[in-house]
Amino acid sequence: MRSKSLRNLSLASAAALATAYALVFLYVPLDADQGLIQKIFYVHVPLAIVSVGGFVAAAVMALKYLRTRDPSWDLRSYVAIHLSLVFAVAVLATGSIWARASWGHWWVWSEPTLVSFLIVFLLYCTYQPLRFSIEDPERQARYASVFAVIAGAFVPLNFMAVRLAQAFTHPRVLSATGGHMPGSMRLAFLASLAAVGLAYVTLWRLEVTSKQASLEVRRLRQRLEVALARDAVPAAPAPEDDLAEVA
Amino acid sequence: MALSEAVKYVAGAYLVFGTVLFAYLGIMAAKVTRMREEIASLSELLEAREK
Repeated sequence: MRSKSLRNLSLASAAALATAYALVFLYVPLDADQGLIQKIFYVHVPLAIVSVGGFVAAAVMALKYLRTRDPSWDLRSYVAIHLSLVFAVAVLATGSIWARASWGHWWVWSEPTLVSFLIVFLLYCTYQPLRFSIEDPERQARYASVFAVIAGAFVPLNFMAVRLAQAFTHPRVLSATGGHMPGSMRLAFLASLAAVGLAYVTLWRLEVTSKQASLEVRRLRQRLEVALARDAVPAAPAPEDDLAEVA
Repeated sequence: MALSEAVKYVAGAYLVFGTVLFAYLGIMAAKVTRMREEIASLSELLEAREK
């Protein structure tokens, strides 16, 4: 049942990605100001939004772990952070490519959006070393969850601070009123956002399912090895027999 | 910017996303293969115990 829904989700996200990028390259006209390089935004911005959303979702899952102490919530939070970090690498790479094409530089340190995203990325890069430096699984999950909650609260604050900083150079794809994009561009952007979001959810579910299955297999192996070891040891005499011998 | 130059940047950006996606899927596929091997070895252990 689970594998069937995962397969349907995978097919849906592949179809959504194909549709979104068909819209981007076949339907949306070239931007009057930036020309072809504006099409980078249909991959860069959705990746950034989904990545940041993943960090916030991981914080919510970590909070659920701290409330319930159910290890599955910690696993979900861990996978969400892990996947968001992978997406964040793609955000930084695609952003740098756009910056090089548009500004002539791979990186601009005076641009608050770029630097703040880098700070968020580096902050989450410390999550895994922190997590795996703790051996006790219960403590590991607790410390990692506290980190995820605090860092997850920092992400929207950081985002708001950048908005308030009023960057002049970084283009704003979405404003508070929903953006200034023409209809076809907005449609392609929303389709790309939905497709990247669906891809994220699919990969997240795939990894959570894989990790849960892996844990289950490990548990089964341990049980089987204990049972085999028990089979190998010859049966000890029963206490009644010992008493009979003494008598 | 010339169209031929812009094509390189756009292709590069989409290639990054594609590479990330396929690399992730590749790693997941490798994990699933490893898990299948693990399950096969567990089945062997179980069969040995039943004999």
